[in-house]
Amino acid sequence: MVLVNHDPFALWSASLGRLHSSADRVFRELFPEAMRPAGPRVNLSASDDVVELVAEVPGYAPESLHVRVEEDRLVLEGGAEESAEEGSDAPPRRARFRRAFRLPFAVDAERIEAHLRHGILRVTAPRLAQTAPRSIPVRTEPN
Amino acid sequence: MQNGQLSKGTDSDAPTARIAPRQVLREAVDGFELELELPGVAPESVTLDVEDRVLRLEASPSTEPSAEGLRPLLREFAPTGFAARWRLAKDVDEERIETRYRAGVLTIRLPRREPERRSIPILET
Repeated sequence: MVLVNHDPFALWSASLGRLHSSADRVFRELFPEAMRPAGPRVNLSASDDVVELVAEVPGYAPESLHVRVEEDRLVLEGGAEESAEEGSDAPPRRARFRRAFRLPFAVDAERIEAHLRHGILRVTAPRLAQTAPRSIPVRTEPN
Repeated sequence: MQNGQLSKGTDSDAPTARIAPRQVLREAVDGFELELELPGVAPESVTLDVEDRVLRLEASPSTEPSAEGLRPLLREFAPTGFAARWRLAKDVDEERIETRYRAGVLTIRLPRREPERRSIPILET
């Protein structure tokens, strides 16, 4: 005789998931799923001399994430890179995404740093060093 | 992993909000695989235990230092902890549950118990 287990996992976690914490609820209201751009959730912040981008990218390998500057935007792309060999510990490939963020000031693309830890990507982009103030000579027209 | 140990107190003194993680459940012939997204959580901050056939997960986020004087420009998430429970199927072998963690993703393998074979003696009367 075969006993079929129809519902192996009573959906406790689904109901638990609806008891969202207040913090999460606030974020959900501010950024409803439909309004949110495709791709990971991010926090973007800036000081006077650095821009910091923090993105939730669980499961993405470092080589599948790309950060670059395109004009006045910081662009984050990820996904679609095949994980290593079969049977490796790599989780299944992750969805491809692209997000772009307008920068509050010009950044030094050569000095951008990106660190991935526990599925959180943290990008710091230092402000482009100001070029020496250029004084514009005022010339008098010869009479 | 701690089997059969429920750490008391973690619910009440939880410093951060806890939500259910995004999850994918796959079923194979020999068991189940539960994949959980736990961004920002170090593997050592995850507690997983089983009691009365209920698998329970709790995880706290690790905080990373940010540069000083940052002003938020866009804020889509806050560091969160995670909590969830699953009632295990009767045929899941609790003793052989395995986990692996990689890049903020925790994969829990829940193997099915080997079917018990019992030979029934044929009695001649």
